[in-house]
Amino acid sequence: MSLIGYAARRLGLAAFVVWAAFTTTFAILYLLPSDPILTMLNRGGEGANVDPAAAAALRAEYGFDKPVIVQYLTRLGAALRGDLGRSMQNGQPVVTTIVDALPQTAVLAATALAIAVVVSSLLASAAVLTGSRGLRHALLSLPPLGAAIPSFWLGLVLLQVFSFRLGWFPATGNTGWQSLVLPAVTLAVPTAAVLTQVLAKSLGSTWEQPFVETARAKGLPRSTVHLRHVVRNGAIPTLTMVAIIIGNTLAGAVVTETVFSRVGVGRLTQSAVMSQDIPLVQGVVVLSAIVFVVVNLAADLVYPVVDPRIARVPATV
Amino acid sequence: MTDLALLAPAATEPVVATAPVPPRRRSRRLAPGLVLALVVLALVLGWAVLPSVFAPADPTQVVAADRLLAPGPGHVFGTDQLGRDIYTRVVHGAAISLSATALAVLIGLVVGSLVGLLSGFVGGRFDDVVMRLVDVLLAIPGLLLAMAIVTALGFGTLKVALAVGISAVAAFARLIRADVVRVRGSAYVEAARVSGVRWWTTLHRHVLPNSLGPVLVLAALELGSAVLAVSALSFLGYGAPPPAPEWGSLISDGRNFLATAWWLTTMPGLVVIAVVLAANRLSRALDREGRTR
Amino acid sequence: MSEPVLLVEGLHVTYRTRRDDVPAVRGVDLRIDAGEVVAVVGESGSGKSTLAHAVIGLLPRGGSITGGRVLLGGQDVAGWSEKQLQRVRGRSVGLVPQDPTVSLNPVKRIGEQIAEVLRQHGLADRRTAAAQAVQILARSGIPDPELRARQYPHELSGGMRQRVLIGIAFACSPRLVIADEPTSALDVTVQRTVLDHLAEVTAEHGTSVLFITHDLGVAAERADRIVVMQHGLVVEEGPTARVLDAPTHAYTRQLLEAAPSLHGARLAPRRPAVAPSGPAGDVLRLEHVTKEFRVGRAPFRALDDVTLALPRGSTLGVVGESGSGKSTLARIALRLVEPTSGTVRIDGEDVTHTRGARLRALRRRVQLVYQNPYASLDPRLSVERIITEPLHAFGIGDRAERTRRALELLDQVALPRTVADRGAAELSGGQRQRVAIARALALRPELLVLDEPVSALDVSVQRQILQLLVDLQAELGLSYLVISHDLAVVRQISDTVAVLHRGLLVEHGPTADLFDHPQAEHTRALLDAIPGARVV
Repeated sequence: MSLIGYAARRLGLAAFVVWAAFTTTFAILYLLPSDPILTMLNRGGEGANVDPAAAAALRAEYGFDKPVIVQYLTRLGAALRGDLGRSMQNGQPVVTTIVDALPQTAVLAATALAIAVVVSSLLASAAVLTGSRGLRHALLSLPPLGAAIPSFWLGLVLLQVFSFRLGWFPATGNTGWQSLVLPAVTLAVPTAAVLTQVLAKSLGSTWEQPFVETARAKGLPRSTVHLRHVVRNGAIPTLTMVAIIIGNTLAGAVVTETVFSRVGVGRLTQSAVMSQDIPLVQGVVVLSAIVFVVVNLAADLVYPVVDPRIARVPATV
Repeated sequence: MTDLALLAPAATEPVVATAPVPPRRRSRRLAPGLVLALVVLALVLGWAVLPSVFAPADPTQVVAADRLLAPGPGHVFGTDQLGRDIYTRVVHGAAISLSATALAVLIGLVVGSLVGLLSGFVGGRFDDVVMRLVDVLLAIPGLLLAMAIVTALGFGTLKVALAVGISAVAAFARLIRADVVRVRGSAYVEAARVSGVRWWTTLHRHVLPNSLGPVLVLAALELGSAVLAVSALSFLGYGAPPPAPEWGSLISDGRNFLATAWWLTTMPGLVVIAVVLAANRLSRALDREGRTR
Repeated sequence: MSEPVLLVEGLHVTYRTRRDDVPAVRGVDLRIDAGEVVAVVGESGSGKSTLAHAVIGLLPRGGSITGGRVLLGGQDVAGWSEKQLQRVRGRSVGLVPQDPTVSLNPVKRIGEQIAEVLRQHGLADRRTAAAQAVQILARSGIPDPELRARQYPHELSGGMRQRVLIGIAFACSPRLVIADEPTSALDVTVQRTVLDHLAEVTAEHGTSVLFITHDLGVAAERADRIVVMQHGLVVEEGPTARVLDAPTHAYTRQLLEAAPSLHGARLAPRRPAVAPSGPAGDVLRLEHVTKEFRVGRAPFRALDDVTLALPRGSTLGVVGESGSGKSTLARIALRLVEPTSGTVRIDGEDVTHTRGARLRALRRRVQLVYQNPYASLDPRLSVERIITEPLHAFGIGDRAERTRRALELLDQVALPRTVADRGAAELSGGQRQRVAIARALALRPELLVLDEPVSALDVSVQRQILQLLVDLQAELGLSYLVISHDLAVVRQISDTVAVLHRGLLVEHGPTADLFDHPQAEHTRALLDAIPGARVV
């Protein structure tokens, strides 16, 4: 298969995932409830007084008076032109609303990921390298604990201690690096918990590989063996998970931004669901699918660099 | 002489030697951590089934004099801004939180297992299509998918449970399918086929029992994540309406008193952590049990 | 006498597990003088590999030296720290590991991996190390050394990788090299050239070698002295010729008797033979069978126009190295895969495309015994359940009758009846293979396909299973199709032998003719490569 053919196939697959995410959310959001217009007018309340005229007008505006397949194709066509409809809350286009909020969330997620990667590498390496069984058990019991803590609770506890009691960091807001610390730590904990578990397992099993014995038989110190031979091999399995981990970090931003009252895509999503702003919710889901495929494509490019056994283009196979 | 030599233990080269070992009897004693986990799970189950046995008071009873009392004798978890006892509210909330969790796991388990089993066993084109769909669902973070479903279904504990359950289907399906494919490709299943065993006999005698272990492991693990997901969604405000003492909303309620009354959020949170840890510990024990067999 | 290169005195090694301490080496003495090649021979669990690893302090987690001394060049290294041992490893003791395919770091270039050991011990700096690595590759008989140095391990064949590892072990000219089953993962013909290479390098450097092997044939051919280990103890040691000619310990005699490579004759049944059941003639015929697999776009021909016949009541051995197509042939005979072209006949009937009920009926007559008794038995079922599964499948007999048949089958494969209730997981490898044979016999088949029936077992167990197969054949009038990479195994049970090479049938004939007067060049290469063949 040629390089172009391979690239085309990968891109086709990526487009398929985004399309499927769009279609799935369309099915969930527009087909599941009895009447999306009533849902929108009600905004989740009990309200019985829906003006029939207003409902009809809205119905026509959103095209809900047309057959489902027409609605779907219309929306898909618009989506292909970069138009995901207008938010129910403020009437702004969904795409610009999301794009405006994205940088804040990206900074938060990137900081959290950086913290998680550093912490999990150190923890996993220490757990694998230590000769003390007790220390290893202690280190390896941290990630399950981290994964068991509800992140909204962790955020609140951090607020209590570091904002209200100690006053080190502001409790809310988006200004300055100080406002980033607590949310990033909150968001990093579940990610670091997952990463540490995966890394410790794969570093541990790499240490059992026969080539490690070859390296040790050369007289290399354990630390050199770890850095030069084990880490790269052990990191390969985590690469397959990177898209899922980044996706979950973004989803975690929903909770974190809500707890810390930060502006961002997460908070936007929280309020969109709260007011059943269907177009905006769909926009966020499609965004998450796009992030997923982009990260996966990037991982595909990195793979052959990290692991020479994977040819950049599978020759004839 | 030959058969005596044969009865010597199995070959486990390369390095770990096995000199004659007495017949292996696995010890039935449970690890202390596992015992603790089972106690925690049994306790919260008791809360859910018989709340008034564990906390006879009324969870909604307002006692103006007892407002915002710190944990201490009489009120082990303290009281809230209306003077309600937090321990009582946590105990009475268990039924809501745990039944939502159980429903979510059940949906994920049943639907996911069926899809995975069918996909793995039928194979071919069908398998391809189903797995592509599963891939797409896995591409969307679980919490986000659950939120989208909640948007469509509306709010309430039952709907939150449904949403969490549906968003877990893909993960179950993927795991079961992988396991079915593994067992199906194993030498002993092929051996059964060569012996003339029919495919459905193979399915229920070899494939199902050998795939069951991993399903239980995942179910226990999912129990923990479902507790987290359900409480996260109700923390965000999509769960039961206010007076209900659902765990996530208890924590959420305490937000306004963070600076003055830490126990409002901390105590229910610790209960959630304990339940999740216990479920994960159980999952690990099941996993180990499955692998040593 | 000068100081020995390696002197082990009263060595004890124990593995600490969760439950208890398992002794692996229980008071071993060993001496290796300068330039001497000493082979430590034993079966799995004998402690031979543990002994080798203890010498350079590379015991796996949980293992530790609990007594005795390990003197390397006069210094006791048994209690040395990791730091002290690092100066010894690679510098004065080299290691040639077991399986070359997994013993090189897959993500580092070959050249770097060789250069590393030189730089670690200060024998080269960053610049000179690369050049020296290329020289080492060249001396290892690897063509295009500059190119190979820049390649990754997966781009080299198994034999070449083992040459690289030998190069690494000898890079710093150590006084002692430990070779831990250095060729057991390789095909016989490759094994031969690698062992020759190892012998050359050893002679050139005057290095002493501690050679660990399960194969008495290899030891006989390559060692000056042989040390036999069993259950963590040395049971016999002496000069190679003496140990082979006049073994003093019963276990050594047992090993010698069992060593397939040292044996020529076909095993004789210990039970009276019966006439084969069914019509005379060929029970199995493969006519012009070709099988192609599609690998990407290029079709790969696993079998190319192979014609073979198996007369009723006899044994046909099919021999070949990995990739020869022998396993594909077995699967076609079992109708697990269909050939691309050609005909499969059972008792003259064309069954090439038989399906459904008729295929199921065929399954009753042709049964299979797998290579790996650890994988082919469902770990959840009891032995009785496993053996009677084919009876269940065909609805034969009631519960009592099936139990009776299971016990009868256990008798036939010489297992105690008490194992019927045990789980397969509780049995040893040899016992499991007996259970697998019992299951294959449950339906009273006419033809058994044996796919590497003993390759996962220790030699003494191999011998017992082969004898059992020969006995069962006589007693039940069975026909066997035996697939093996091991000529010596095939020789002990086959009436006729077929040699496959890259999908082609290169030679086919009565066993004795083929072994004594091989016609095809590949057959001769295979025969030559049998370790120990030239010794005995």
